[in-house]
Order: sequence, then C-alpha cells, then structure tokens
Amino acid sequence: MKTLWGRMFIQPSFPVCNMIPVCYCSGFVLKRAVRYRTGMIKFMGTAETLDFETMGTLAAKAQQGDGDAYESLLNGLYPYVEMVLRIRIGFSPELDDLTQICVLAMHRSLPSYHPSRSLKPWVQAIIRYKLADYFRAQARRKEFTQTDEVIELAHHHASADEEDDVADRLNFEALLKQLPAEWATAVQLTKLDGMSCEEAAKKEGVSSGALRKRISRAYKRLAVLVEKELES
Amino acid sequence: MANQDKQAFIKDLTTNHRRRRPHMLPSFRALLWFAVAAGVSGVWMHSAQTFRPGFAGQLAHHPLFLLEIASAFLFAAFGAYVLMNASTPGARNTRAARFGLWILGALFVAGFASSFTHWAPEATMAGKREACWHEVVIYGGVCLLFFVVLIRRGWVRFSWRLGLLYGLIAGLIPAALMQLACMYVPAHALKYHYMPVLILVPVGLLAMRMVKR
Repeated sequence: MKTLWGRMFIQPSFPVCNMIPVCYCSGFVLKRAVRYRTGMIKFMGTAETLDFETMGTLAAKAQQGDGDAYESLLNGLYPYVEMVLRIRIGFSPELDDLTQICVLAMHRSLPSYHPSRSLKPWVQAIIRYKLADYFRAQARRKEFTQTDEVIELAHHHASADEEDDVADRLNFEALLKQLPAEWATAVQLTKLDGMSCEEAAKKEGVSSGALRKRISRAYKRLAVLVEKELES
Repeated sequence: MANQDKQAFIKDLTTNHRRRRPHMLPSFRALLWFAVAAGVSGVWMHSAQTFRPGFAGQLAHHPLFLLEIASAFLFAAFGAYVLMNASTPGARNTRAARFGLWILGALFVAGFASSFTHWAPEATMAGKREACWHEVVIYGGVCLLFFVVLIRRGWVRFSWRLGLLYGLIAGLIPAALMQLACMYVPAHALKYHYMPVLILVPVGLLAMRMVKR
C-alpha cells in the first residue's frame, strides 16, 4: 500500500489510481485523501506546465485590449481553475458550473489585476472567494434539502391514494404562480425547461449570479409555501 | 462535449474584448483618498471658520499633541491602505501591516490620553465653533462617501473587523483637523470631536455591506 502511494506521486499518469478508492479504501477520510491525491496527480501536470509569468504578461496584454492574448490567457487558466477546484470539491457535478463561475469572475475582475504583481495570488484569491461563496450556498441549500426530506417522508408514509392526494395538493404550477414573476421564470427555465444557469441568464438578460440568487430566493419561498400547503 | 462547452464559453467572453485599464495599486488609491479627504476637509473647515490661532505653535512645542494628531492621520492613511489591500484579489495584508495599524491606534490613544496631563498644551477657548460635532460628522460622511467610491471598484469581502475601520478612518481625519481648528479643551475634544466618529462607524459597516461582492 505504501509503495502504491509512492508510485501514485511519482507517476502522474499511473492508471490504477482511479481504482484505489474502490479497491483499497473504505471510510470517508480515506476516500477524501485518495480523491485529494488523485486530483493532485491530474493537477500536477497542469500546474507544472502553467507558467504564471507568461500568463501575467498575457493578462497585461489583455488589459490593453489584445483579444488573442486574452483568449490564450483564459484557455490557460481554465484547466488550472478546474484542477484546483477538483482538489477542493472532488468530482462533483457542480464542478463545471463552479469553474465557469470562477473564470467569469476573473473576466469581470480583470482590471483588479496589476501587471506589476504576480498573477498566481490573484487567480488563487478569486478561486478562494468563489469557493467560499459555493460552500456558503451549499450550507444554505441544506435547509432546502431538509424540507425536501419532509416531503419525501410524507410520500413514504402515505398510501397510494394519499400520495396522489399529496401530489394534487402540491400543484407545482400553482405554487410557482404565487412567486414573483422573475423568480418563477428563473425556476421554470432552469428546473423545468432544463436550461443551464448561463443559458437562462442570457435569455433573461441578467448575470448568472443574479439568476442564481433568484432561484435561491424562489426555493426559500417555495419551501415555506409547500409547508403551508401540507399543513392545510 | 465538455471541451466544446469550454471553448464556446471562452469565445463568448473574448469576443468584443476591449481595453480595460488596470486599477491603481492599493497604496496609491489609499494615498489618493487620504490626500483628497484631508484636503477637502481642511479647506472646507477653514472656509467655514478659520483654524484656531496658534495651533502650529502648540504642535511645535508639545510633542505629545503632535503625536496625537500625527498618529490620527497616519492611522487613517494606513487604515485606508489596509482596506484597499483587502479589497484587491491577491493582495494580502501582512501580519506586520495589521500589527502596525494596532500600534498607530495605540499611539493615538496614548497621545490623546496625554492631553489630560500637564504635558498637554494649555486649554484655550480660542477658535470656538458653534457646531463642531456636526461638522465632524458631515466632513467624515463626505470622506466615507469618497472612500466607498474608490473601494467599490475592488472586490470587497464583508468582515466585521475591517467594516469598523471604514467609519473610523473616515471620521478620524476631520476629528483630528477639528483638534487644530476648534477650541482646545480635552474634555470638549473627547465629547465633540472624537465621539461623533462613533456615529460614522455603523454607517461605515452599512457602506461595506452595500459594496461587498
């Protein structure tokens, strides 16, 4: 086992590393550790080749309006951001969204980078800020899942007829109508029509952050409405 | 598929890319704020009523009074630097910077406390103003507004400790200037020059909440 750990670090492309969690490791902590290390292995390739000095020069050129330099900069930073996030949150389904959010934040805050400084702390700070927002949002979301659990529990205990009754009582469209129009549209587009947040934001003509806020507020209100409906 | 998404996303961001000038360094922004805030407050205060006659002599002959005024100004300037730094991604405040701010604050408190001892300049009613504390609040409010204008371009993260600094540094500039402009009586200074700064502290916190990202 010890040798295997050593090999994992020495050979970044060691193919067995993805099987480690299944084969050898049980328990949350070990899985986390392995996920961290496998992430590190994939990350090392990008991090070592990513030359922040060159990236800094590209950023300075991008600030002067050089589109090609800007494209190269984002193309270079995107995988780096993805790998850093993969280390922190693992192979989460939200990884892509979060990566785009980080890159979007870098795009918006490009003027806050000063060419006389190193690019690396700037990039890492933005990733850190966005990760903090993500974890905060995740903590908030837990409240909603608790509400979902209540509903699931109600379904579980109810007989078939009662289940239909609950479903009838929880008329989702009627609940949506009770929300402000902007919030309802945000939920409709992302959760019912299956659009991504970015697409929905574009359609609504707002930033993706604003759209996420709308969805989050809509959820909060919906949770209250559902509880009320079930009580009555 | 994911790669195509990524390319489309980057293409989306880079099309119509235009020149975007970098912000000034935090130290320059802090210095700019301090110079403008102190300049505007000083000129405005002087135009409302001239400064107390003989204040320069008091500064020259009483080092502890000089320490109080100088440390108040330095605290405001350095506090602005710390806040500007905190609002710039990647520019962290070192432990030395945070410690330096505490030292300046302690020097200011010590300097002001010394005004209650016999080392302080003699109390005088010269330069008495009708509504000095109103002036401190108004000038402090203007300084705070200008600070918010400068800092909102950065990436402000909400923090209680830093939020308290907003109002404190903005109010300290006119308060220290008022020590030179209004009558010199330590108890009056505490009540009408420095206490009004506390009114600006919650306003500063509110301002930070408004500009945070």
